Amino acid sequence: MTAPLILSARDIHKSFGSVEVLKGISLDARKHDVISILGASGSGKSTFLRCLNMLETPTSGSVTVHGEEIVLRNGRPQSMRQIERVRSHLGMVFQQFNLWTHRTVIENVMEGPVLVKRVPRREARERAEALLARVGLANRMDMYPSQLSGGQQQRVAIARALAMEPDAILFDEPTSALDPELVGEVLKVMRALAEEGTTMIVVTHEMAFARDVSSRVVFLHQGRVAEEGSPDEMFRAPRSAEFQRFIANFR
Amino acid sequence: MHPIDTLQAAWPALMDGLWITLQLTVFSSVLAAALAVPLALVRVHAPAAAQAPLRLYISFARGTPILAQLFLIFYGSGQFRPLLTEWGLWSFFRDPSNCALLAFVFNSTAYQTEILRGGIQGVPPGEIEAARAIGMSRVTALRRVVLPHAYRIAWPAIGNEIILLMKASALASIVTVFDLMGQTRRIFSRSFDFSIYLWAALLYLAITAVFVVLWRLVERRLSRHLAARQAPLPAANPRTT
Amino acid sequence: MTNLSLAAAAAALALFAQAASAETLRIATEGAYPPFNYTEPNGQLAGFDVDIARELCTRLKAECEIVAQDWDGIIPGLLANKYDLIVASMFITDERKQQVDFSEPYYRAAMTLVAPKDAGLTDLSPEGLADKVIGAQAGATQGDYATATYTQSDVRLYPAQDEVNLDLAGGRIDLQVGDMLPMVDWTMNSEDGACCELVGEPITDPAFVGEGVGIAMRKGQDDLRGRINAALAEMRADGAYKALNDKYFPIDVYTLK
Repeated sequence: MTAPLILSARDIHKSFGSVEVLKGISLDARKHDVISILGASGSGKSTFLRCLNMLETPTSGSVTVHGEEIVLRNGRPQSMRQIERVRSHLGMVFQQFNLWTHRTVIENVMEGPVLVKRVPRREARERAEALLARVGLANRMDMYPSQLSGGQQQRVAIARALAMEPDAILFDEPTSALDPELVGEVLKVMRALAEEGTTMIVVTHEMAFARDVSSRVVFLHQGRVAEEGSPDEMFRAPRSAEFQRFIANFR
Repeated sequence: MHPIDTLQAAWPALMDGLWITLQLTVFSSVLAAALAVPLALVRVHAPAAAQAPLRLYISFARGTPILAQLFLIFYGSGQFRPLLTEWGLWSFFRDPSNCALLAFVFNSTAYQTEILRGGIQGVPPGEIEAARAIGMSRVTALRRVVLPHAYRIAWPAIGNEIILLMKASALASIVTVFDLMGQTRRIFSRSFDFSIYLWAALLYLAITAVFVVLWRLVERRLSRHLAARQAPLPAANPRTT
Repeated sequence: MTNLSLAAAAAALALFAQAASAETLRIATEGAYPPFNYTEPNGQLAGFDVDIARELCTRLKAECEIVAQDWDGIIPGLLANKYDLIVASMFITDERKQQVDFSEPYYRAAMTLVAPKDAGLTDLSPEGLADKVIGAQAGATQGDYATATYTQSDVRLYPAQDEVNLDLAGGRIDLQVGDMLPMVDWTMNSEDGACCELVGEPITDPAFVGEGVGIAMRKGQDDLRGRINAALAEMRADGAYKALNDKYFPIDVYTLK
């Protein structure tokens, strides 16, 4: 039996002015999928990811989350409330972490549940402490983000996304802004999440992660899906010339 | 008369005036701060055409002397009394304190709007995006991320503006309001003893000094997240890092 | 030395002495108190006080320099030697005498209440006006009188007389205490003054009205004071005063008759 469909993007086009960045991308994410999106810079992968939670609004195409289609009218979301509701079921981890610097670590993780899901503070705090323990930062919960290293901040960001108990988590190049020695600790957490069955869509340059942890790889080239398949298929026997060239650069 | 004797004799009147000055300053700045929030948001988000009237108001309020604005409101309203009475507004404009309050709010709102706008534009956009991505409504994100950051950034400038407003409040004495300056002038016109101005200046200085201390205390509290960076990190626990 | 150069030297000396004796008198007036002193549209100071001052200078054989000064700084300015005389309809009061010397009065004055024509006020006592708003010029005898007498009313003090007039015409205040002659001038001759009329008896309480209106100078200048008093008496005697008086007033302001 196939896992339920969590998120579905159909024929997404996105133009910025006269420049068309996404030229018709479709993607299905089922429960427990770990999808890696690869591509050169400028291929549109971040833009596509951001279309999934409507941080960018597609020029055309549709996004359906948990069976509910996000209604667009004239290139704008019809209902902000619908968008906000959908977003509260999707987590996002940003390249620049984007932690709220004026709040402590634990406050960062509690903010979403308390304010968006109306979880009582005490319960939210307990859950937050557990999540921070899970990502290995329990002893830093009363510190401010500015006191943490990049890797630690990103792990907090992951805990923050997890706190919302999302149906899927979107990762936008989560390790690209980290010093190399800090990348490992973040990937370790992401790997653990994948092994626990979290549905993840990850835009990344980490080939090892894409090859070893994902269930599916999607390669974008110039705004289109040039190739997709299981990591095994993609990395062992790349079919498209573009993808062959791409992975050659990473040898 | 000996300066100390002057002070002793004038003390009750000066305290009365001080109270009026404080009330004028506090009410004006609080009202202006409240108005500045929606106006600053208009300045940041509204399209240029929609902003034009607001920018015109800000230009005028900042570009003309407060005294001129005060006179326009005070004496201008007297000229338009029949019209104001018809609209039921005359009872408001009749009171000189109301006119002074209105003039100060009119003026300070323009400054506070621009100050807050600067603060809002300094908020890290990524943090706003993270708030929206987690499902926060625009209003909640405004309340929890944008305004907290904006006020932290703008805090010293807002404090400055309040100090300037307090000093400008002395102009109220020219339209018969017995604030600290009004009482001072009245006392001087009877006694011609110059020292009363000295005492008045010292009182203004004292209010300013107390205000600055309090404002800075709050600033320190608000900047904890920045100051924290300077503090040394506790030794990392090898088991949990 | 030759005869010629001696004569030249003597002539130069005489001329020098002549120039030295022509003093300059710097005189301050308010410039906001018609018809006694006001500023014309072109910036010139004019009015009864200004005319009196000019006439005095001629008689004292002095150069007249007349400047405008805001009321609340007018005595401090004199004491700081910014000017030598104040001819600005200043009442002679004991309080002021502590700071400055005055000439003999050059006109008498009384104060009066002024109210809108349709006010219908019958009781003008302090109790009768207890809930009214009364305006007057700050630092002037009118202000002192209003504050001291109408203790139960809301007394508002303004920096200048025309601001009091504006607010009475505008309706922000119910009455004002004003100097009689300027009030006559305002209510009779001006557009916004037409709203109002003098009410009640003239206020002649010497505690406030004093001995009349005089010219103020720094203390200790008895010589100057004597010369000014002599010049004023001359002006009264030879009709020069009357000529100026009649220019502005229907009655003799020296005696208020």
